[in-house]
Amino acid sequence: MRSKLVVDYVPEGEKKQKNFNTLCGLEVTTASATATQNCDLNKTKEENKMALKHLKTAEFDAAVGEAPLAMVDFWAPWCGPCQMLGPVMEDLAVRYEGKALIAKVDVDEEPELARRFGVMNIPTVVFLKEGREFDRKIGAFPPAVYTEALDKAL
Amino acid sequence: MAYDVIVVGGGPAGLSAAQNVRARGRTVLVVSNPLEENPLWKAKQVDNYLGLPGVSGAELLTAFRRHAEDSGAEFQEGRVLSALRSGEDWYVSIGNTMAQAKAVVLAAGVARGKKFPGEAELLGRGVSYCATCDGMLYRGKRVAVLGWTPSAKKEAEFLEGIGCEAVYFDKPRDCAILGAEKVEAVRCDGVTEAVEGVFLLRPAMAPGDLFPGLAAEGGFVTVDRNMETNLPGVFAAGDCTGGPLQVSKAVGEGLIAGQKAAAFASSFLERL
Ligand SMILES: Cc1cc2nc3c(=O)[nH]c(=O)nc-3n(C[C@H](O)[C@H](O)[C@H](O)COP(=O)(O)OP(=O)(O)OC[C@H]3O[C@@H](n4cnc5c(N)ncnc54)[C@H](O)[C@@H]3O)c2cc1C
Repeated sequence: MRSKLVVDYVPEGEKKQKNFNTLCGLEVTTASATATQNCDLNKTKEENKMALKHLKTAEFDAAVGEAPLAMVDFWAPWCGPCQMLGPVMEDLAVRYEGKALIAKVDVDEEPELARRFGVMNIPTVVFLKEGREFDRKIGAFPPAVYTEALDKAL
Repeated sequence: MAYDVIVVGGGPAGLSAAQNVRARGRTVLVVSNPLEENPLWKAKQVDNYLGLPGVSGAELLTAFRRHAEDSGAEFQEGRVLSALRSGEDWYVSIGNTMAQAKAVVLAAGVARGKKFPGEAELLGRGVSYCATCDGMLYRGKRVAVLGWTPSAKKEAEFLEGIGCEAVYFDKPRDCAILGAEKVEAVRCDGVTEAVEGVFLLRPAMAPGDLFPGLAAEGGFVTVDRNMETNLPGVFAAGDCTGGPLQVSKAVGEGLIAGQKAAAFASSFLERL
Protein backbone atom coordinates (compact mmCIF):
# COMPACT_ATOMS: atom_id res chain seq x y z
CA MET A 1 0.00 0.00 0.00
CA ARG A 2 1.08 3.58 -0.57
CA SER A 3 2.28 5.54 2.37
CA LYS A 4 0.42 8.68 3.34
CA LEU A 5 3.45 10.73 2.42
CA VAL A 6 3.09 9.81 -1.23
CA VAL A 7 -0.43 11.16 -1.40
CA ASP A 8 0.59 14.34 0.42
CA TYR A 9 3.12 15.19 -2.23
CA VAL A 10 1.03 14.52 -5.30
CA PRO A 11 0.95 17.67 -7.45
CA GLU A 12 -2.31 19.63 -7.30
CA GLY A 13 -3.41 18.71 -10.81
CA GLU A 14 -2.92 14.99 -10.27
CA LYS A 15 -4.41 14.79 -6.81
CA LYS A 16 -7.77 13.47 -7.79
CA GLN A 17 -6.44 10.71 -9.94
CA LYS A 18 -3.73 9.61 -7.52
CA ASN A 19 -6.16 9.44 -4.60
CA PHE A 20 -8.45 7.38 -6.75
CA ASN A 21 -5.64 4.99 -7.58
CA THR A 22 -4.92 4.61 -3.91
CA LEU A 23 -8.55 3.88 -3.32
CA CYS A 24 -8.42 1.28 -6.02
CA GLY A 25 -5.35 -0.16 -4.41
CA LEU A 26 -7.37 -0.67 -1.24
CA GLU A 27 -10.20 -2.29 -3.13
CA VAL A 28 -7.86 -4.67 -4.87
CA THR A 29 -6.61 -5.97 -1.56
CA THR A 30 -9.99 -6.26 0.11
CA ALA A 31 -12.71 -6.75 -2.47
CA SER A 32 -13.69 -9.56 -4.81
CA ALA A 33 -12.47 -9.98 -8.38
CA THR A 34 -15.56 -8.34 -9.87
CA ALA A 35 -15.17 -5.29 -7.67
CA THR A 36 -11.59 -4.99 -8.84
CA GLN A 37 -12.70 -5.02 -12.45
CA ASN A 38 -15.22 -2.29 -11.76
CA CYS A 39 -12.49 -0.14 -10.34
CA ASP A 40 -11.57 1.78 -13.46
CA LEU A 41 -8.32 3.67 -13.10
CA ASN A 42 -9.22 5.82 -16.07
CA LYS A 43 -12.44 7.03 -14.58
CA THR A 44 -11.11 10.33 -13.25
CA LYS A 45 -9.57 11.04 -16.62
CA GLU A 46 -13.00 10.44 -18.17
CA GLU A 47 -14.51 12.74 -15.58
CA ASN A 48 -12.01 15.42 -16.54
CA LYS A 49 -12.99 15.03 -20.14
CA MET A 50 -16.66 15.35 -19.25
CA ALA A 51 -16.11 18.47 -17.19
CA LEU A 52 -14.31 20.03 -20.14
CA LYS A 53 -16.77 20.53 -23.02
CA HIS A 54 -15.70 20.34 -26.65
CA LEU A 55 -18.05 22.65 -28.51
CA LYS A 56 -19.11 22.53 -32.15
CA THR A 57 -20.44 25.57 -34.00
CA ALA A 58 -24.04 24.30 -33.91
CA GLU A 59 -24.17 23.94 -30.13
CA PHE A 60 -21.92 26.86 -29.21
CA ASP A 61 -24.43 29.68 -28.76
CA ALA A 62 -26.88 27.63 -26.73
CA ALA A 63 -24.20 26.23 -24.44
CA VAL A 64 -22.39 29.50 -23.85
CA GLY A 65 -25.56 31.62 -23.72
CA GLU A 66 -26.99 29.45 -20.97
CA ALA A 67 -23.87 29.66 -18.85
CA PRO A 68 -23.66 32.59 -16.41
CA LEU A 69 -19.91 32.36 -16.87
CA ALA A 70 -17.91 30.60 -19.56
CA MET A 71 -14.26 30.28 -20.56
CA VAL A 72 -13.56 29.04 -24.08
CA ASP A 73 -10.14 27.91 -25.25
CA PHE A 74 -9.70 28.25 -29.02
CA TRP A 75 -7.01 25.75 -29.91
CA ALA A 76 -5.74 23.22 -32.47
CA PRO A 77 -3.93 19.93 -32.10
CA TRP A 78 -0.96 21.12 -34.18
CA CYS A 79 -0.12 23.98 -31.86
CA GLY A 80 2.53 23.49 -29.17
CA PRO A 81 1.39 26.22 -26.80
CA CYS A 82 -2.17 24.85 -27.07
CA GLN A 83 -1.00 21.40 -26.01
CA MET A 84 0.76 23.03 -23.10
CA LEU A 85 -2.47 24.70 -22.03
CA GLY A 86 -4.45 21.45 -22.37
CA PRO A 87 -3.73 20.03 -18.89
CA VAL A 88 -4.38 23.45 -17.33
CA MET A 89 -7.83 23.65 -18.92
CA GLU A 90 -8.66 20.08 -17.89
CA ASP A 91 -7.72 20.89 -14.33
CA LEU A 92 -9.69 24.15 -14.29
CA ALA A 93 -12.75 22.39 -15.75
CA VAL A 94 -12.82 20.12 -12.71
CA ARG A 95 -12.15 22.94 -10.25
CA TYR A 96 -14.89 25.18 -11.67
CA GLU A 97 -17.45 22.48 -12.31
CA GLY A 98 -20.90 23.84 -11.44
CA LYS A 99 -19.56 27.42 -11.34
CA ALA A 100 -18.43 28.06 -14.89
CA LEU A 101 -18.54 26.37 -18.25
CA ILE A 102 -15.01 25.53 -19.35
CA ALA A 103 -14.94 24.64 -23.03
CA LYS A 104 -12.62 24.11 -25.97
CA VAL A 105 -13.14 24.89 -29.64
CA ASP A 106 -10.93 23.29 -32.28
CA VAL A 107 -10.34 26.11 -34.79
CA ASP A 108 -9.48 23.63 -37.51
CA GLU A 109 -12.85 21.89 -37.19
CA GLU A 110 -14.86 25.04 -36.44
CA PRO A 111 -13.37 27.77 -38.62
CA GLU A 112 -16.60 29.83 -38.57
CA LEU A 113 -16.47 30.18 -34.80
CA ALA A 114 -12.82 31.15 -34.93
CA ARG A 115 -13.60 33.77 -37.55
CA ARG A 116 -16.59 35.10 -35.62
CA PHE A 117 -14.42 35.66 -32.56
CA GLY A 118 -11.62 37.10 -34.68
CA VAL A 119 -9.19 34.49 -33.42
CA MET A 120 -5.85 35.08 -35.14
CA ASN A 121 -3.49 33.45 -32.68
CA ILE A 122 -3.93 30.23 -30.79
CA PRO A 123 -4.39 29.54 -28.02
CA THR A 124 -6.87 32.37 -27.45
CA VAL A 125 -9.00 32.04 -24.35
CA VAL A 126 -12.26 34.02 -24.37
CA PHE A 127 -14.29 34.77 -21.23
CA LEU A 128 -18.05 35.25 -21.59
CA LYS A 129 -20.99 36.17 -19.35
CA GLU A 130 -24.29 34.87 -20.73
CA GLY A 131 -22.72 34.64 -24.14
CA ARG A 132 -21.15 38.08 -24.12
CA GLU A 133 -17.39 38.40 -24.21
CA PHE A 134 -15.84 40.45 -21.39
CA ASP A 135 -12.18 39.45 -21.53
CA ARG A 136 -9.68 37.42 -23.53
CA LYS A 137 -6.14 36.13 -23.09
CA ILE A 138 -3.95 35.53 -26.11
CA GLY A 139 -1.24 32.92 -25.61
CA ALA A 140 -0.66 30.32 -22.90
CA PHE A 141 -0.34 31.54 -19.32
CA PRO A 142 -0.06 30.01 -15.86
CA PRO A 143 -3.35 28.83 -14.30
CA ALA A 144 -3.56 31.87 -11.98
CA VAL A 145 -4.12 34.19 -14.97
CA TYR A 146 -7.29 32.30 -15.87
CA THR A 147 -8.56 31.76 -12.32
CA GLU A 148 -8.16 35.47 -11.62
CA ALA A 149 -10.33 36.42 -14.60
CA LEU A 150 -12.91 33.78 -13.64
CA ASP A 151 -12.99 34.65 -9.93
CA LYS A 152 -13.46 38.34 -10.66
CA ALA A 153 -16.59 37.51 -12.64
CA LEU A 154 -18.03 34.93 -10.22
CA MET B 1 7.91 13.96 -23.23
CA ALA B 2 8.89 14.37 -19.58
CA TYR B 3 12.44 15.19 -18.46
CA ASP B 4 14.03 16.22 -15.20
CA VAL B 5 15.42 19.39 -16.77
CA ILE B 6 14.78 21.30 -19.99
CA VAL B 7 17.47 23.69 -21.23
CA VAL B 8 16.36 26.55 -23.47
CA GLY B 9 19.25 27.44 -25.79
CA GLY B 10 22.13 25.32 -27.03
CA GLY B 11 25.05 27.75 -26.79
CA PRO B 12 27.97 27.51 -24.36
CA ALA B 13 25.80 28.13 -21.27
CA GLY B 14 23.07 25.67 -22.25
CA LEU B 15 25.49 22.92 -23.29
CA SER B 16 27.46 23.32 -20.07
CA ALA B 17 24.23 23.15 -18.07
CA ALA B 18 23.11 20.03 -19.92
CA GLN B 19 26.41 18.22 -19.41
CA ASN B 20 26.29 19.00 -15.70
CA VAL B 21 22.69 17.83 -15.35
CA ARG B 22 23.81 14.51 -16.85
CA ALA B 23 26.80 14.40 -14.50
CA ARG B 24 24.24 14.42 -11.68
CA GLY B 25 22.40 11.53 -13.30
CA ARG B 26 19.29 13.44 -14.31
CA THR B 27 17.64 13.50 -17.74
CA VAL B 28 17.84 16.64 -19.85
CA LEU B 29 16.48 18.00 -23.11
CA VAL B 30 18.22 20.88 -24.86
CA VAL B 31 16.01 22.92 -27.19
CA SER B 32 17.80 25.16 -29.66
CA ASN B 33 18.23 26.22 -33.23
CA PRO B 34 20.97 24.50 -35.27
CA LEU B 35 24.51 24.99 -33.93
CA GLU B 36 25.56 26.97 -37.02
CA GLU B 37 22.99 29.62 -36.11
CA ASN B 38 24.58 30.30 -32.73
CA PRO B 39 26.25 33.74 -32.66
CA LEU B 40 29.60 32.29 -31.59
CA TRP B 41 29.73 30.10 -34.73
CA LYS B 42 30.92 33.12 -36.72
CA ALA B 43 33.82 33.99 -34.38
CA LYS B 44 37.02 33.29 -36.35
CA GLN B 45 39.24 33.23 -33.31
CA VAL B 46 38.54 33.04 -29.61
CA ASP B 47 41.65 33.93 -27.64
CA ASN B 48 40.44 34.09 -24.09
CA TYR B 49 39.08 30.61 -23.48
CA LEU B 50 41.50 29.11 -20.99
CA GLY B 51 43.82 26.47 -22.36
CA LEU B 52 42.65 26.74 -25.95
CA PRO B 53 44.08 29.96 -27.43
CA GLY B 54 43.24 30.60 -31.07
CA VAL B 55 40.39 28.15 -31.28
CA SER B 56 37.51 29.16 -33.57
CA GLY B 57 33.96 29.68 -32.35
CA ALA B 58 32.73 26.84 -34.53
CA GLU B 59 35.37 24.46 -33.15
CA LEU B 60 34.50 25.36 -29.58
CA LEU B 61 30.77 24.98 -30.14
CA THR B 62 31.22 21.64 -31.89
CA ALA B 63 33.36 20.33 -29.02
CA PHE B 64 30.85 21.59 -26.43
CA ARG B 65 27.98 20.01 -28.29
CA ARG B 66 29.74 16.67 -28.69
CA HIS B 67 30.58 16.61 -24.99
CA ALA B 68 26.96 17.25 -24.05
CA GLU B 69 25.71 14.63 -26.52
CA ASP B 70 28.19 12.04 -25.25
CA SER B 71 27.04 12.66 -21.71
CA GLY B 72 23.54 11.59 -22.76
CA ALA B 73 21.77 14.91 -23.17
CA GLU B 74 18.91 14.84 -25.66
CA PHE B 75 18.42 17.51 -28.30
CA GLN B 76 15.46 18.98 -30.09
CA GLU B 77 15.76 21.54 -32.84
CA GLY B 78 13.23 24.31 -32.52
CA ARG B 79 12.22 27.48 -30.79
CA VAL B 80 10.72 27.64 -27.34
CA LEU B 81 7.71 29.94 -27.59
CA SER B 82 6.43 29.97 -24.07
CA ALA B 83 6.52 28.08 -20.81
CA LEU B 84 4.13 27.74 -17.93
CA ARG B 85 4.05 25.92 -14.62
CA SER B 86 1.07 23.85 -13.62
CA GLY B 87 1.20 21.77 -10.46
CA GLU B 88 4.87 20.95 -10.00
CA ASP B 89 5.77 20.71 -13.66
CA TRP B 90 6.99 23.19 -16.21
CA TYR B 91 5.35 22.81 -19.61
CA VAL B 92 7.44 24.14 -22.45
CA SER B 93 6.09 24.62 -25.96
CA ILE B 94 8.49 24.01 -28.82
CA GLY B 95 7.03 24.86 -32.24
CA ASN B 96 4.07 22.52 -32.52
CA THR B 97 5.18 20.15 -29.77
CA MET B 98 5.45 20.27 -26.00
CA ALA B 99 7.80 18.89 -23.37
CA GLN B 100 7.66 18.92 -19.59
CA ALA B 101 10.20 18.99 -16.78
CA LYS B 102 10.59 19.74 -13.10
CA ALA B 103 13.21 22.43 -13.73
CA VAL B 104 14.18 24.71 -16.61
CA VAL B 105 17.50 26.36 -17.42
CA LEU B 106 17.15 29.48 -19.50
CA ALA B 107 20.32 29.88 -21.57
CA ALA B 108 18.91 31.81 -24.50
CA GLY B 109 21.71 34.35 -25.00
CA VAL B 110 20.92 37.99 -25.55
CA ALA B 111 17.80 39.00 -27.43
CA ARG B 112 19.14 41.75 -29.67
CA GLY B 113 16.73 44.32 -30.97
CA LYS B 114 13.66 45.93 -29.52
CA LYS B 115 10.05 45.37 -30.44
CA PHE B 116 8.88 47.22 -33.54
CA PRO B 117 6.20 49.89 -33.47
CA GLY B 118 2.81 48.19 -33.70
CA GLU B 119 4.17 44.79 -32.70
CA ALA B 120 2.82 44.68 -29.14
CA GLU B 121 -0.31 46.64 -30.03
CA LEU B 122 -1.35 44.27 -32.83
CA LEU B 123 -0.42 41.01 -31.13
CA GLY B 124 -3.40 38.73 -31.56
CA ARG B 125 -4.71 40.93 -34.35
CA GLY B 126 -2.35 39.82 -37.07
CA VAL B 127 1.01 39.69 -35.28
CA SER B 128 2.28 36.18 -34.58
CA TYR B 129 5.48 34.50 -33.44
CA CYS B 130 4.59 30.97 -34.51
CA ALA B 131 3.98 30.00 -38.12
CA THR B 132 3.10 26.40 -37.30
CA CYS B 133 0.60 27.52 -34.62
CA ASP B 134 -1.24 30.31 -36.31
CA GLY B 135 -0.52 29.64 -39.99
CA MET B 136 -3.79 27.80 -40.57
CA LEU B 137 -5.74 30.90 -39.53
CA TYR B 138 -4.18 32.78 -42.44
CA ARG B 139 -4.87 30.28 -45.22
CA GLY B 140 -5.58 32.06 -48.49
CA LYS B 141 -4.25 35.34 -47.11
CA ARG B 142 -1.23 37.45 -47.83
CA VAL B 143 1.23 37.50 -44.95
CA ALA B 144 4.73 38.81 -44.28
CA VAL B 145 7.45 36.73 -42.68
CA LEU B 146 10.21 38.69 -40.96
CA GLY B 147 13.04 36.20 -40.58
CA TRP B 148 16.40 36.51 -38.90
CA THR B 149 17.57 32.87 -39.12
CA PRO B 150 17.83 30.25 -41.86
CA SER B 151 15.17 28.20 -40.05
CA ALA B 152 12.78 31.12 -40.47
CA LYS B 153 12.87 30.53 -44.24
CA LYS B 154 11.59 27.02 -43.62
CA GLU B 155 8.67 28.44 -41.67
CA ALA B 156 7.89 30.76 -44.59
CA GLU B 157 7.89 27.73 -46.90
CA PHE B 158 5.54 25.99 -44.48
CA LEU B 159 3.14 28.93 -44.76
CA GLU B 160 3.29 28.81 -48.56
CA GLY B 161 2.67 25.07 -48.35
CA ILE B 162 -0.58 25.45 -46.44
CA GLY B 163 -1.89 28.09 -48.82
CA CYS B 164 -0.70 31.48 -47.57
CA GLU B 165 0.91 33.99 -49.84
CA ALA B 166 4.12 34.74 -47.94
CA VAL B 167 6.31 37.80 -48.51
CA TYR B 168 9.73 37.16 -46.99
CA PHE B 169 11.86 39.86 -45.39
CA ASP B 170 15.40 38.66 -44.78
CA LYS B 171 16.90 40.12 -41.59
CA PRO B 172 15.10 43.46 -41.78
CA ARG B 173 16.55 46.17 -39.55
CA ASP B 174 13.84 48.70 -39.12
CA CYS B 175 10.18 47.75 -39.38
CA ALA B 176 6.80 49.09 -38.41
CA ILE B 177 3.58 47.12 -38.32
CA LEU B 178 0.70 49.20 -39.54
CA GLY B 179 -3.01 48.97 -38.94
CA ALA B 180 -5.66 50.32 -36.62
CA GLU B 181 -7.92 47.43 -35.60
CA LYS B 182 -5.82 44.74 -37.20
CA VAL B 183 -2.70 44.36 -39.30
CA GLU B 184 -3.05 46.04 -42.67
CA ALA B 185 0.55 46.41 -43.80
CA VAL B 186 4.16 46.13 -42.81
CA ARG B 187 6.97 48.48 -43.65
CA CYS B 188 10.55 47.25 -43.45
CA ASP B 189 13.61 49.29 -44.46
CA GLY B 190 11.46 51.49 -46.68
CA VAL B 191 9.48 48.73 -48.39
CA THR B 192 5.75 48.58 -47.62
CA GLU B 193 3.65 45.48 -48.27
CA ALA B 194 -0.09 45.17 -47.72
CA VAL B 195 -0.61 42.05 -45.60
CA GLU B 196 -3.12 40.64 -43.13
CA GLY B 197 -0.59 38.89 -40.94
CA VAL B 198 3.00 39.40 -39.84
CA PHE B 199 5.11 36.53 -38.53
CA LEU B 200 8.16 37.66 -36.58
CA LEU B 201 10.71 34.86 -36.33
CA ARG B 202 13.66 36.09 -34.26
CA PRO B 203 16.56 33.89 -33.20
CA ALA B 204 15.95 34.68 -29.54
CA MET B 205 12.99 35.94 -27.57
CA ALA B 206 12.98 38.35 -24.66
CA PRO B 207 13.08 36.26 -21.47
CA GLY B 208 9.92 37.91 -20.10
CA ASP B 209 8.00 36.88 -23.23
CA LEU B 210 8.95 33.24 -22.64
CA PHE B 211 8.27 33.16 -18.90
CA PRO B 212 5.47 35.48 -17.79
CA GLY B 213 6.45 37.13 -14.52
CA LEU B 214 10.18 36.49 -14.81
CA ALA B 215 12.15 39.21 -13.03
CA ALA B 216 14.58 41.05 -15.30
CA GLU B 217 16.49 44.29 -15.29
CA GLY B 218 17.63 46.13 -18.39
CA GLY B 219 16.70 43.10 -20.51
CA PHE B 220 18.80 40.69 -18.41
CA VAL B 221 17.34 37.98 -16.19
CA THR B 222 17.78 38.58 -12.46
CA VAL B 223 19.54 35.65 -10.76
CA ASP B 224 21.21 34.90 -7.43
CA ARG B 225 24.51 33.09 -6.91
CA ASN B 226 22.73 29.77 -7.51
CA MET B 227 21.59 31.10 -10.90
CA GLU B 228 18.07 30.86 -9.55
CA THR B 229 15.45 33.28 -10.89
CA ASN B 230 12.35 34.52 -9.07
CA LEU B 231 10.30 31.64 -10.55
CA PRO B 232 10.39 28.25 -8.81
CA GLY B 233 12.53 25.74 -10.72
CA VAL B 234 13.73 28.26 -13.29
CA PHE B 235 17.46 28.90 -13.50
CA ALA B 236 19.31 31.10 -15.97
CA ALA B 237 22.88 31.16 -17.26
CA GLY B 238 25.12 32.86 -19.79
CA ASP B 239 24.62 36.04 -21.76
CA CYS B 240 20.94 36.23 -20.77
CA THR B 241 21.89 37.05 -17.17
CA GLY B 242 24.14 39.97 -18.16
CA GLY B 243 27.75 40.81 -18.88
CA PRO B 244 30.52 40.11 -19.40
CA LEU B 245 29.16 38.49 -22.54
CA GLN B 246 31.91 35.88 -22.78
CA VAL B 247 32.18 32.15 -23.28
CA SER B 248 33.99 31.28 -20.02
CA LYS B 249 31.44 33.13 -17.96
CA ALA B 250 28.59 31.39 -19.84
CA VAL B 251 30.15 27.96 -19.29
CA GLY B 252 30.74 28.65 -15.58
CA GLU B 253 27.21 29.86 -15.00
CA GLY B 254 25.90 26.89 -17.01
CA LEU B 255 27.66 24.56 -14.57
CA ILE B 256 25.99 26.17 -11.56
CA ALA B 257 22.57 26.33 -13.21
CA GLY B 258 22.83 22.70 -14.37
CA GLN B 259 23.80 21.42 -10.94
CA LYS B 260 21.15 23.45 -9.15
CA ALA B 261 18.44 22.48 -11.64
CA ALA B 262 19.37 18.81 -11.24
CA ALA B 263 19.19 19.19 -7.47
CA PHE B 264 15.82 20.91 -7.76
CA ALA B 265 14.46 18.04 -9.90
CA SER B 266 15.94 15.47 -7.52
CA SER B 267 14.18 17.02 -4.55
CA PHE B 268 10.88 15.80 -6.01
CA LEU B 269 12.15 12.24 -6.34
CA GLU B 270 13.44 12.20 -2.79
CA ARG B 271 10.08 13.23 -1.46
CA LEU B 272 8.31 10.28 -3.08
C1 LIG C 1 31.40 37.41 -33.55
C2 LIG C 1 31.49 37.09 -32.10
C3 LIG C 1 32.75 36.87 -31.51
C4 LIG C 1 32.84 36.55 -30.16
N1 LIG C 1 34.08 36.34 -29.63
C5 LIG C 1 34.22 35.97 -28.34
C6 LIG C 1 35.50 35.69 -27.78
O1 LIG C 1 36.54 35.81 -28.45
N2 LIG C 1 35.56 35.31 -26.49
C7 LIG C 1 34.45 35.15 -25.71
O2 LIG C 1 34.56 34.76 -24.57
N3 LIG C 1 33.21 35.43 -26.21
C8 LIG C 1 33.07 35.85 -27.51
N4 LIG C 1 31.81 36.13 -28.00
C9 LIG C 1 30.63 36.09 -27.10
C10 LIG C 1 30.08 34.67 -26.94
O3 LIG C 1 29.65 34.22 -28.20
C11 LIG C 1 28.91 34.64 -25.96
O4 LIG C 1 29.27 35.21 -24.74
C12 LIG C 1 28.42 33.21 -25.71
O5 LIG C 1 28.07 32.60 -26.91
C13 LIG C 1 27.25 33.20 -24.75
O6 LIG C 1 26.75 31.91 -24.59
P1 LIG C 1 25.23 31.62 -24.21
O7 LIG C 1 25.09 30.14 -24.19
O8 LIG C 1 24.86 32.38 -22.99
O9 LIG C 1 24.36 32.26 -25.36
P2 LIG C 1 24.38 31.98 -26.93
O10 LIG C 1 25.69 31.48 -27.35
O11 LIG C 1 23.84 33.20 -27.55
O12 LIG C 1 23.37 30.76 -27.11
C14 LIG C 1 22.00 30.89 -26.96
C15 LIG C 1 21.32 30.04 -28.00
O13 LIG C 1 19.95 29.87 -27.64
C16 LIG C 1 19.15 30.08 -28.76
N5 LIG C 1 17.82 30.50 -28.33
C17 LIG C 1 17.44 31.72 -27.88
N6 LIG C 1 16.14 31.75 -27.60
C18 LIG C 1 15.68 30.52 -27.85
C19 LIG C 1 14.39 29.93 -27.75
N7 LIG C 1 13.34 30.63 -27.34
N8 LIG C 1 14.26 28.65 -28.12
C20 LIG C 1 15.32 27.93 -28.55
N9 LIG C 1 16.56 28.44 -28.66
C21 LIG C 1 16.74 29.71 -28.32
C22 LIG C 1 19.89 31.14 -29.53
O14 LIG C 1 19.47 31.20 -30.85
C23 LIG C 1 21.31 30.67 -29.37
O15 LIG C 1 21.67 29.71 -30.32
C24 LIG C 1 31.67 36.46 -29.35
C25 LIG C 1 30.43 36.68 -29.94
C26 LIG C 1 30.34 37.00 -31.28
C27 LIG C 1 28.96 37.22 -31.88
